[in-house]
Amino acid sequence: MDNDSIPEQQPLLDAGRDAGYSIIAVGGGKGGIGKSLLAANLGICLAQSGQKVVLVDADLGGANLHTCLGIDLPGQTLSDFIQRRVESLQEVITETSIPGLSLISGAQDFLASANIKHTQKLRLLRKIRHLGTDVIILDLGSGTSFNVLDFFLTAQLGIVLIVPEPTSLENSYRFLRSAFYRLARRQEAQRRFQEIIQAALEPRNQYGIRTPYDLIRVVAEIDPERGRQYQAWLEGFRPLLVVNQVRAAADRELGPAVATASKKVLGIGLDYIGYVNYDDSVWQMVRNRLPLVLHQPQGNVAQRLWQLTREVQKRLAATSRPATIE
Amino acid sequence: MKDFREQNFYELLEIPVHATREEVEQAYRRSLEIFNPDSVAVYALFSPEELAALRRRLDEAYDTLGNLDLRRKYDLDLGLRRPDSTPPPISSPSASTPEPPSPTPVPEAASPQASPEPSTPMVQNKEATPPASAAEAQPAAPLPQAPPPPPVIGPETVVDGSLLKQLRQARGLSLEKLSEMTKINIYYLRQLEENRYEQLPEAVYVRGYLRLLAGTFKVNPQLVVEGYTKNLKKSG
Repeated sequence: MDNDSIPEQQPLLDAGRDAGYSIIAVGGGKGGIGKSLLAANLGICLAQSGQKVVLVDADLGGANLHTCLGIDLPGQTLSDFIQRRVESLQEVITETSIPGLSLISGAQDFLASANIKHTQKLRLLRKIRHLGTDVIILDLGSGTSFNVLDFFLTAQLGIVLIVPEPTSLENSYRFLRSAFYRLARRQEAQRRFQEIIQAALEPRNQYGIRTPYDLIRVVAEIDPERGRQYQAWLEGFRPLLVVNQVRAAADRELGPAVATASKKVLGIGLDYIGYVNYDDSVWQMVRNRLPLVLHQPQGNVAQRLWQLTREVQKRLAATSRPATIE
Repeated sequence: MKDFREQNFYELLEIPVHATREEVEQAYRRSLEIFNPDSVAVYALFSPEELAALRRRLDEAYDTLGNLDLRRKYDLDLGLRRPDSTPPPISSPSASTPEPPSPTPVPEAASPQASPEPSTPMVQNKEATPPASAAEAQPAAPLPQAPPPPPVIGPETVVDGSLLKQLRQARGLSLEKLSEMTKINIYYLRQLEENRYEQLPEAVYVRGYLRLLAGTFKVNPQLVVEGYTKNLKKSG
């Protein structure tokens, strides 16, 4: 956890409300599982579908989205905005060769940017609102720092990406739990419940809270009405799930299985939207800095990415939810 | 939405209350695959003991819902059916096949996400023949037996399942009614009363249940919680 304390009840961002744009966040807890690759290719597919897309490399401290798009590190990056070397976010936007797709490249000042202050984060998120675009895609870093969780919760659609490995599942379940606790913490104004949520962040806490269900039970024992409110938040928290690097037939069953297990044990419903196969061509493309959906459009991986894009588009069209955090 | 430890067997298997035997079987097999110790999907979600306990409950759900007699009894416990209602069909009905006729409407199917709550339909079923008011309205009917006096609980009292049962009976409550009032799964209420500690969820949940029960019975919660959990500790 970072040391970012939250001013009480301070709204993060009124994201997307009445503004005609959508925010998608790609996260998942673990590094090196293809988040940037998914974000980049999702951005390309959406742009090629006629939407105006800004990709934001929000992996503060580990930015490499520009590489997935095959472009050199732009002269000005998010670092310049965060450090106030430029005032406008527009100044750090780089147009790509793909019509409709632009990039805000990630921060490069590792120590300064990975631990940006809450006020800096608010400024960044508020400026993102005014980019004048259809879709903003946030490529998130790994871990469960408040920066990562807040960016994730800002989005209308939060995608959790996993790969068929125990470490990925372990991190993803931790990420989901942490995201819900963060969501509840941001909504909660009463100190006694804030303290319980804070305690829940510790694996061995005095309340025995290990899952969102436990948190709700503890809160409901104190105040049943408040418990019902937490229940409503939990039911409204429904990230999308994508499985990457699918090799074996059994891996294809992982998405639905994880959605079932998450719902049953954590109480967090996941909307499984599909998978992407493992393919050697993927790393070859990355190595050669070639965007995959453009350079192997007929390949299985590209086809899967297009299918995921269509699923995302369906949900963008259906969602009227302004943002998880209000 | 409920914690799986509080889900009834239908909720646990994520099937509607009118699921056929085949559907029960399919759901059971799918659940066993997902909640397999080797499954990546459950990695880091459970301790090995918790996973084993869940699998035992899945077995129990399958054994109960896969057996017509046991299922009928279980449905009665849940308040889903009346004793004379017809059990669900053995094979899958086609989409247009109506449910078998039943004197009392069976509640709507529970979706996998929205589980059958012990709410309106079940309450209505029970209230159709409430023992107490029926006795009052029909003097000719045999009078219900007066509930036994409530046991007195002190620091030396042995708090076990039979004491919980006495406390319940002293308030004239059926297990179903108590489950409705406390929202504790009837399955766990029964395990509590029968001292089947190994079938109970984690101690933290049991303590929550006991506090709820003590509140319902209007007895000292500390004595009940501490007294009963001593037994849990002894049982290991």
